[in-house]
Amino acid sequence: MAFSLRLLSANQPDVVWKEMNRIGVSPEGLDLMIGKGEFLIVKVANISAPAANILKQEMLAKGGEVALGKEMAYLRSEEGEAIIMGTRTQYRRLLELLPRQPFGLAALAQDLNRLLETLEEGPPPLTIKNQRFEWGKRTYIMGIINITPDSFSGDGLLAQDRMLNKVLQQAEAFLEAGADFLDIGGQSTRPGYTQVSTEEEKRRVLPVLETLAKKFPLPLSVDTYKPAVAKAALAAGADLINDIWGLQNDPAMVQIAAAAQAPVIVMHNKTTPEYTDLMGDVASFLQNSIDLAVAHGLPREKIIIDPGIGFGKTPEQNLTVLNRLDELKALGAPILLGTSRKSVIGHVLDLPVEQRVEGTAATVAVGITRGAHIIRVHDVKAMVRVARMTDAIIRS
Amino acid sequence: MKLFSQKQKERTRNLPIVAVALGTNVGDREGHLRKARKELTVILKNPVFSQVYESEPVGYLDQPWFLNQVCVGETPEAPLTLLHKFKMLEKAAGRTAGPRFGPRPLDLDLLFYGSWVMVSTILTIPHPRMQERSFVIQPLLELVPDWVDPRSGRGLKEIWETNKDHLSRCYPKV
Repeated sequence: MAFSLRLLSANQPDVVWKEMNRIGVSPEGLDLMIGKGEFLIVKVANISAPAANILKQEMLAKGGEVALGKEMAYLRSEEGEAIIMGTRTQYRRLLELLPRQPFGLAALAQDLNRLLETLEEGPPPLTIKNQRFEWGKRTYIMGIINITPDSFSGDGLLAQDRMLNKVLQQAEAFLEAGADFLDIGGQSTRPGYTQVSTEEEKRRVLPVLETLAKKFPLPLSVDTYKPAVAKAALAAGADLINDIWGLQNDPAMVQIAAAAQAPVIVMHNKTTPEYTDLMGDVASFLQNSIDLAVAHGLPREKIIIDPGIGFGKTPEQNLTVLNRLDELKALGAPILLGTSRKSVIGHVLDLPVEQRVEGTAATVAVGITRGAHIIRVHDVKAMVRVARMTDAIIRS
Repeated sequence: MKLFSQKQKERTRNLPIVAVALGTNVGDREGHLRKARKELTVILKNPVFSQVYESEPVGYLDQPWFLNQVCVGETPEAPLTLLHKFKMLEKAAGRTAGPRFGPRPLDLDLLFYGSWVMVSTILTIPHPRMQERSFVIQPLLELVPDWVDPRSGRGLKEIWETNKDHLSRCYPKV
């Protein structure tokens, strides 16, 4: 008699649940076993060597594992890092024991518990301009509207009218194509950009925001790292601040966001691509942004995180961040991904900026699969299709 | 992957120059300084360190003397990112020394960030009290004697000459 083996898709609780249900597992059995079909890997930093060794023993007893460096395992270093590996059920059982253990393991248990809850619950929904965003239900699309000097060909009021008309047309096309947000920026931040004065930036974005706010139901974000521009933009009708320095450049930014209770998009950024631990640094930066905002009175649900593809990262690092985007789920905030037409695509495909739509599509599809909740794009019509298709596959 | 070659080499930018004051008066003071120097070498680019000074406590007088040092380097980080990294180092130093009340085993103060001037509840730079601290001005004089306070336009040497007679005691450690 021959058995027949078939592989089942891993780490998709829905799939395991359906398959167990199909073979007639009892409801009690489903409840009991569903947590054994999901695997979690967690890295712990700054753990003392004795604590790490107790952790290893306990997790081994549950059938899981804790990986330690040699120095830690032989107690030759005081503290270091550990990597915990196990099923959700094994973590739950570990958490029953840890609170009674010494060496700070009770505190670790609290952090671990919070992490598991964050992953289970997902980011809390957010309402902007009477629109409710339920993260993960479908992917939301942010259309990019850049107000650059060439939008101002000519001088005077006539030129401004022409520019506003052009922007209105673009915004209408974006709305029609299925955009959920519009992102308005008056200062290009592409590598090698020229700085624009605060006054010039205001002159570019404020009339646009005023016009769009009157005519469009969509939430509008202002793409700026300057507190003065952000403040004026909020007064002119912007609903969110999109800060490429994650509130960490000028302390006035977090105060303006908190005073207006405006949602913020905080992006990871640094000037040179040097990291001791790329994903750890990005996560720690974004956590600092969240902590800053919360400490100043901005509710947690109003903070959206962005890993900053193309900012302070080499092409290889950009690809790594994209492929490991799901690690940022641990921060409990909605994730915005901005890869549209960026140089990382140009480097892989060796194509100029106007030929990066397909490359962008690939980053959008993988980004959504890895947990992006919002995608920020130039080619709204095309990327709405990519997002809908990806949603249909992974959320069915 | 050989996809990305020379082309991508980050163009060298002018990174802001920053100064950090290191202070410790608890536990293994030399050890805390040594660890902090090692970490700062990772966080900052091209860091240089002053010699180590010993200084008397200011404020709460009933505590041991401090070891102080100043580091000047370039930073690719935004001001509050840098501050966050310093806080993490302070926290790490506190934890290995065990729970403690009173002075921390390691203090890291951002003294200046390029020629930025900012006043806020989170961060004020240049450091609001650096002019009254001999254990900051003396090591800074070693590293960046031509530094000018962007608020007042006064040079470091001038500040030192004006203030040195009424400042707390501070000597290079032998």
